[in-house]
Amino acid sequence: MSNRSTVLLVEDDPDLRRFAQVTLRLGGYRPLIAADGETGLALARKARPQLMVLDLRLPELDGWQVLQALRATPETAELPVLVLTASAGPADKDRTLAAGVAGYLVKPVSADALLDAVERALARGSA
Amino acid sequence: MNEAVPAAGPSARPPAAPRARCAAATGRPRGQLVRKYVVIFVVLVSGALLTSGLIELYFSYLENQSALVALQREQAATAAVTIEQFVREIQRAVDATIPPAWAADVVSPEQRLDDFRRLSRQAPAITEIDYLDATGHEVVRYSRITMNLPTQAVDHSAEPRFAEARGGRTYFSPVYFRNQSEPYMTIAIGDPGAGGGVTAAEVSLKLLWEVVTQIRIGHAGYAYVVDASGRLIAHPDISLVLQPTDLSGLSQVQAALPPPVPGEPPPDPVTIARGPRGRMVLTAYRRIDPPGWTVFVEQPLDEAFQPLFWSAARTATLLLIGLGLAVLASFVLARRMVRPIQALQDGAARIGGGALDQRIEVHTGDELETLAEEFNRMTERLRDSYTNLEQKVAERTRELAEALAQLEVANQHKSDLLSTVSHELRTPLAAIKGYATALLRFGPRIRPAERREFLEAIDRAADQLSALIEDLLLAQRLEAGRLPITPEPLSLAELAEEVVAELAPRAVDHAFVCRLPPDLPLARGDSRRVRQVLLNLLDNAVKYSPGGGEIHLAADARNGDVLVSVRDEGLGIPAEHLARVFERFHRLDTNVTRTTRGTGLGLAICQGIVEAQGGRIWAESPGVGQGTTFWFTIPCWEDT
Repeated sequence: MSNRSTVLLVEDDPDLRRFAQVTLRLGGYRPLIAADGETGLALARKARPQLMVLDLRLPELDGWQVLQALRATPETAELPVLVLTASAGPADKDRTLAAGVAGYLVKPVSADALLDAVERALARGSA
Repeated sequence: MNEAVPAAGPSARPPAAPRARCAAATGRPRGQLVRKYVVIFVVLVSGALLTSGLIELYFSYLENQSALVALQREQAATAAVTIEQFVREIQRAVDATIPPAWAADVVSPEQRLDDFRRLSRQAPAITEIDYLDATGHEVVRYSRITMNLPTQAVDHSAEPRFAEARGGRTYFSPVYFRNQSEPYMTIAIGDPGAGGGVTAAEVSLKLLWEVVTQIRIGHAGYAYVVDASGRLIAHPDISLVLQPTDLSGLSQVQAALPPPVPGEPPPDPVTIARGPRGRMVLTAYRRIDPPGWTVFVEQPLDEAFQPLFWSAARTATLLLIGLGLAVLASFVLARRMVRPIQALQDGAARIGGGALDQRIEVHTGDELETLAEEFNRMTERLRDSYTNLEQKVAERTRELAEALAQLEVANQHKSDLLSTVSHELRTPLAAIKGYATALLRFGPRIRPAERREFLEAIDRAADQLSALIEDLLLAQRLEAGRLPITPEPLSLAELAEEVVAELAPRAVDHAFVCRLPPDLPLARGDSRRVRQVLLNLLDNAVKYSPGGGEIHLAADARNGDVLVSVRDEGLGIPAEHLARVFERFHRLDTNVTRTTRGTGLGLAICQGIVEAQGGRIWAESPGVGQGTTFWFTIPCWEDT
């Protein structure tokens, strides 16, 4: 159990949150759940997850602001982030990739795709 | 080759010609009008002056000439009469010495000598007088100069004075000169009857010279006499006569020499000819008959026409003065005529250049002033229409800009809407996809409770998708005005009760308070759509008052409408969002709204339906956390 990676999921949609939580658990990870950016940032600092799966469109603090805050905090500056978004616009994607993320997933996403992306992001982060 | 050269010529030349014309047209032909007018005036005035001067000159020339010629003719006539009289007197005197035929033989030579002596006293011009007998020998001789001895032995029968005069005829000899200076003539008269003698008198013609020298015409005028053959026999300058001088070559002499033929008009007299000394003269003549001479009276042309020259000089001076005056007057007149035209031209140029506020000032009181006024009126109209046009252009530009801005806003809305819609569609789709793939991947590893939860979530998401699609289509049809609204008399009370009854089971924490007066008039609307509006508003009231509480539904008649209100005690709406809640996908970002599932189109659809039925919809909220009231109206049935 010690080698199970902790994955922090920041997602405002309850269905997505629930799906991702179950999928990550069954995929062999330890999921942490946050419904908004503020909670996500607090958890990232406290629980020191190996990866953050971040929705871009969030209430209050949005995904980019969360990213910025992560990078600005020493403890979370190196945390790899996998972006999961429903906005498929190329402008959003460019902006996100430019901010330095480990992966970019567009909703809808299958359980397999989510697990693959998480695995790859973690492999890159540990390498 | 041959064709190419001429073809190149004309094709190369024409472009130059219009350019030259253009240059001439753009270069302002200032003052050309003045020049034109001046030329016309000068030509007219000088033409008139010149014509009148010339005509006057011509007629005065004619009059002068005819007067002079008449004068000369008169002088010639006087001279001719004098000479003629003289010759006739001599002739008569000689004739008087001749006895009648029957007495010829009776008259003795002595008697004849007496007669001759008496005759020479009577007629001093006769210097000698002879009587030749029938054989041509001198029988009697009387002379004032020589001895009165007849030369009896000499036969004179061959002489013309004998031969030409025999038989009662009169013979005038050609003029001859004695002592190189005195002109003489022989007048011989034959005795009547054949075989008679001849009386011949030598006549001094000094009188001729006297007569000729007495005639004075002006300063240089003179008279002279020629005999029948054109030889000069008398002239003030005696040397000319003595040379001797043959004048038959002069045209006036030639015209005068032929003796007049009775019954025929005399030939046209030559009035201007070359005189004996070669000068051009004005000439007149008169025949002296007997003895067949002609007297000419002549005056040099330059003297004769001296007054005419003066007259011509006067005319020329007048002409010059007239010309000067004409030029001056025409300049003044032309300037006066042209100045308003120039003012017009300048004004037109200014107006053409766009200076529409300029007026053309021409006060000539004639057509030009009218023209200028016409111009000013035109300019005013032009200015007005220009201003109008500018206003219109500005207006249209503004309208266009507004339309463009609206279009851009609409375009932005559309693009925003599209991205929102895609997001709204993706969210339930993502739930379906996620749950379904998780079920597929992990199958039995998922606990039964979770499996059920997943399947229910999939079902809910599918419902949400279809609701969203339905709402989108409805909103689209409302926006396009293609939603069929069938107005019918509605009882809002009934509708409200139905909707409340439908919602109540799902809203256990809420209490519905309805205040629907029994005398509420019937409304005019589509019952299905009004029901949809009510359901939507009440559903929202339930959703956005998560803590429960009362939901008030009221209806009243107000100004021909039925006014409906739905009030909750829930979250309320910030003032800045009150108007925007009716926009599609406009959502308040709160925890509650995030967890509350909706299509984001409900209020937009409500607004579309209410407005399509001729009503209004709006929202009121005292503030966040203090509840919200939605109002809408439907026209009363009676009023329509």
